[in-house]
Amino acid sequence: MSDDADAGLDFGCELEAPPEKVWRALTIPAFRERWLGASAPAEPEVIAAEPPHRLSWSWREAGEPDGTVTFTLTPTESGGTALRLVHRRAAQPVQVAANGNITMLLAA
Amino acid sequence: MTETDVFRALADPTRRAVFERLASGPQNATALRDGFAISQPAMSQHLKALREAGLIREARMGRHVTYAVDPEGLAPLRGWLTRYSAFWPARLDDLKTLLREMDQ
Repeated sequence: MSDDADAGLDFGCELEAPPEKVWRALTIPAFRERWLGASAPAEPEVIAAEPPHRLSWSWREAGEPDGTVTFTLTPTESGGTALRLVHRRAAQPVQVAANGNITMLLAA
Repeated sequence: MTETDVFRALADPTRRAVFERLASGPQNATALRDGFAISQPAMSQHLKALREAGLIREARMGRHVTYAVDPEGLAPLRGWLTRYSAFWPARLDDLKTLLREMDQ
């Protein structure tokens, strides 16, 4: 755990699909709804995107400070993806991609 | 204290470090300042913010003040942690299922 552990949650898992496919599952609304569910406590809004490596959402939930959820996708040797999900409880500064690509419109 | 107050107090890296130091045991102001390259007034401000958020308590004995973690201070965060500790692993399981069902 990082020294931010008390400020958020940090999950990691390995996925069998390559980062490009995981990226589509994370970003295309029709796919996103199928895993995030209609019952998600917040409506995510993309605040940073660096396909297919890094995606940040704002996570606004009633009665909570505005949080962020960041996915980091790293290709594995077996052709899959190592996924890391970090949910911070407040809007700490979001790291902007080195190329300045802060936001990206997503194709539906 | 609301979760927001607690979170704001801990969002500052120095304050978080001070809180973590106190979590290992009560200390007086002088001992606490050792290892932090900040002035006494700056340390006082951090301690005040932590106290106002309900995260630490101070005990005064004459001229000496000892600071300690307030065990109830993190209670507002616990609900959030419990909720999302269950939420995200379940969602990631659903993501795995979706990836198997998706066309390339």
